[in-house]
Amino acid sequence: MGLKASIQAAAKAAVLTDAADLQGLVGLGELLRQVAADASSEGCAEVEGRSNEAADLADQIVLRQVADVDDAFRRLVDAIGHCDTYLERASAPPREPADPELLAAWIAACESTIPELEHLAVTAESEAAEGAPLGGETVADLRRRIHTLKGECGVLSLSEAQSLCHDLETRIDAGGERFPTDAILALCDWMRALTNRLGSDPNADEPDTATVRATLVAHKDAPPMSAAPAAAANGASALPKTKPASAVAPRGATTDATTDADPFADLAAIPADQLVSMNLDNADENLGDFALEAREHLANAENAVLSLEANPADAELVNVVFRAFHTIKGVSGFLNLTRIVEVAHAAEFLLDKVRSNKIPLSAHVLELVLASTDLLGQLIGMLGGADAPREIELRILVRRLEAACEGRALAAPGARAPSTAAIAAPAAPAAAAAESPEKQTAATAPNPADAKQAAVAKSIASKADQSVKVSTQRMDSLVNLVGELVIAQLMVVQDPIVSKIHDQRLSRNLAQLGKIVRDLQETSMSLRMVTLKATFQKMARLVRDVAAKAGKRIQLEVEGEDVELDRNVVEEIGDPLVHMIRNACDHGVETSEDRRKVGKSEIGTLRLRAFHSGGSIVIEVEDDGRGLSRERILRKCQEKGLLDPTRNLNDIPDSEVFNYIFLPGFSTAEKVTDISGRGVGMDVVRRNIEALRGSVEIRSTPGKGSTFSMRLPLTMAIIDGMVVRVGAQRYIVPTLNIERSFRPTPSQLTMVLGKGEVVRVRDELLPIYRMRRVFNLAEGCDQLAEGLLLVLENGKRRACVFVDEILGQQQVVIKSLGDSQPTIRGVSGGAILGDGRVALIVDVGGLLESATGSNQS
Amino acid sequence: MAMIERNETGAHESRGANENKFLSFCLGDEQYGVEILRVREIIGLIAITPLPQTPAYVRGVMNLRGRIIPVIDLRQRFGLQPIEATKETCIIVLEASDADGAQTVMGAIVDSVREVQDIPKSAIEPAPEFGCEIPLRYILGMGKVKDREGEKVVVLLDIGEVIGMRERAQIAGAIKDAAGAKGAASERVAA
Repeated sequence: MGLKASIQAAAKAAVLTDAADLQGLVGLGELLRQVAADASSEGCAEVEGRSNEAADLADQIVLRQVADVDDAFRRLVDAIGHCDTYLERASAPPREPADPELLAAWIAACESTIPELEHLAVTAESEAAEGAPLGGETVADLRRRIHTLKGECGVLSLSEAQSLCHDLETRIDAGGERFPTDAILALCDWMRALTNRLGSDPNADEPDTATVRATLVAHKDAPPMSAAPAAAANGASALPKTKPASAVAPRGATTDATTDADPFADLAAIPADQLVSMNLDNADENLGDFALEAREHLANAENAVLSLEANPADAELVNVVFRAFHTIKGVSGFLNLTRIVEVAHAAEFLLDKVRSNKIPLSAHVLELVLASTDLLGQLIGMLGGADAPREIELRILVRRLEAACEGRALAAPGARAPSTAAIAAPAAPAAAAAESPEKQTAATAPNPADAKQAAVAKSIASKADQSVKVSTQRMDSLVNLVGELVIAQLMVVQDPIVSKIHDQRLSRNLAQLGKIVRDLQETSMSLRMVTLKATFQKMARLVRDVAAKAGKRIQLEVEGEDVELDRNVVEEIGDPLVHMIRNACDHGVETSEDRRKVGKSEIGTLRLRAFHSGGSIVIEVEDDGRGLSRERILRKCQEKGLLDPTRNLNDIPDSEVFNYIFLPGFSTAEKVTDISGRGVGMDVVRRNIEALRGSVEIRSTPGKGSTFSMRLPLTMAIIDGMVVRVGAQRYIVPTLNIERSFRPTPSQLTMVLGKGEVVRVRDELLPIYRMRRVFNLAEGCDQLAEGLLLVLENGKRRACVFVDEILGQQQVVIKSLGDSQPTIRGVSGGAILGDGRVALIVDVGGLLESATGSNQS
Repeated sequence: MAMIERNETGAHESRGANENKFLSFCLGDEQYGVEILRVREIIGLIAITPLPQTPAYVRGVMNLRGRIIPVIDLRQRFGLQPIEATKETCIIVLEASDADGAQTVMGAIVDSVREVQDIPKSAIEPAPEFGCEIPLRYILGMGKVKDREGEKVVVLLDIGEVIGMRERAQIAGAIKDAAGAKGAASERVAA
């Protein structure tokens, strides 16, 4: 077996093994020994060393000789990864079919990573436009992701993709006047094309890279920017104001005042027993992920440092350590963990100097780096509820790191510092008062802060590592089964025999069963819920593209991207959202010039909002553009003969006027652009939303802007329905569509010759459709006065439907009427009622349409 | 030949032993058979919810353990006079997969089910060009079986055709026609 093959075998085995799989580990160990043997015969000392190391690790894990099995396993996997990378560097291999499993997993992952990348790119650009320094957290994150992508492409031997990512990374590092958003977006598009290709054929060639390269080259000539890391600002804000150029000094801050005899003198003010406090107030779920990731990075770094001791010349190892700190810094900055940023930044800065050969990689540096990983490990441990390290340690370490950057080796003060500190502490109240508020809280009231931290930490710890990827198919089948369970439970409870039994224990047990079943149903429904984040992120890209094309400046404000919706709904709203946003950008928002003329800010604003409102989700697209022109819409309506000529135009409510733009006839682009600047694809919007059993509403003020508001059900699977009876049949009418119900008096009824029956409801004449006739039933009530009329509304169409009686209201699970059953107008599906029978769910829109068709044709 | 091909595209495992087995049932005096691999289960006649606008032989939909499936009346499908349901009337739940892999499950009302019979390929003859009440495309072949009453012929049905895509397209067409006809009918009423 050649070296390459054996490494690949080991890498594959590592993916399929985990720390608990002893058999797998033994196998992996053997494979690794094979790798080592192959490496020694091919003379790759590095690979040999690493694979031996990894094999030892595998043995240790099997024999349980390591304290932290998971950690050891990660190190093992890393080691294999290194071998792999080494090999790649040594011989850039031609494209070889990657492991289909890995490839498929990667393609699936790309579906989320690419939109995220786009989102970051757009964010980074707008941040840059707002004057934020280009080294900001977004950019750091972006870089980290591109780097990860590069690594993944490497593993999958997608050489073109890898080199593109690499070039892009270099490009971002190089800086420049403009942030290379175009290049990143181009890369995203290219990656999409790539994943599409690979999805259909794993051996497909990579797409042509010319376009992406072109965007990269377009940026290359830009002058390099100053590499001031913005994270510094982030970290500095948390620092004591008494020392302006201290811990998180920006690069090149060589004029530290502490070059005198005792470099730690000013730290003496810190009580020796004071612990580092961290602000976990705005802790979110990302913290758990971060803690997990950061530990991995630290383990990587530590591993690399240890290898560096043996092999100080290996630049790649320095890079590994550097990247670990850099990533931790970036993410913790994003999460506002300023104390972590402080340490990570100082260490990163030092490593950067080493990397660029400004200072030699001495044992002292390595010691400091290791000390940093230890301290960071402790700080990160705080997130999981572990004890905090001492404040003084952090300060001293940061000071030593800074000194090392200037090429000075500051020895650790040892036991001296605490004692000095202990003496100095009471004597320095002024210094203490000048400390940052964060620290003051910690010093004066450590207990409540500790308790809060512990609580937060606990919740984070419980969140971490507790999500599972499940196939949607399994999830759907679970939801279906639970739906059946609900029905079966109802059937038991409503069984005539069971309901005749009056036994306290039985009814208590049945009630308990009912409660559990309902809880189960709710829980299983919540499994299908996903956030709107991905959808909204896509829109950011869309806004950017459309705005650029239209030559406008538009900023997108997003709110409520954490709102959760049924997965199916989220998939379906993409299209309508795209239409609405494109319209808003294209027609709604004016050009900068026009905006200036009317005294608005030159940059248009688009707000994308999602929120809960009374059992449904509302998604709004709001622009601050010119608004809809009522007059123009009305004029167009008159031209098209849509309006009753006798109507007074001023009496028509806005809502009705705006509703006309949803008509298909209004959607042809040039006409609409002439009228109101709105309407392209609006009928698509409405149809899609109605298919989701939602509604859409427009509010608009001329000159101020418009708001398109979509109201959507939380889930597609359940509706609130009114069970009605017609003859022997029962139907379910969605409660949403029922305005009211009443028993008509003969005086309200009129027969219009040739048109059918009408009823007067509150001074309005509504046509009556008899459900019995519409559905062609043999039985059913004939006398209008003996049954009930339901006033149904769908959009702006209103009508009365005649049924025998209302049996009750209940939530029903919507089911399709058999696979690929042809659609029947007026019926949207079926539901199984408590007695096990099927009731048809009335599609009010279709019913009114088909009734109109049959009654008026 | 046709049968072998179909079995290969069938959705069931463990087909080997069941390949030549047919479930026979009655419509009027005639015996019919369907491949046992296509039969999901046999249930007694249960409540069926009628569907509007569908042709008469589509009896409606029923609840098969939480799943809603359409039910057709094979008698009416093949142009026989409808009869009152008896104690023996039952629903055979059939499944078939289309060429594109989409699965269809449908209930078929029959007068009574008889038995599961082994009909080797050698005992199956092609359907005659004439002399049969049902359209040729529904017939897989004529199976010759021996039982207590002597030799008999069983009409073996091609379930893929009976409940498959072509059939559903036909129902869809019928629904459209029904909607149109109803419009015309109510026009007359109104006039």
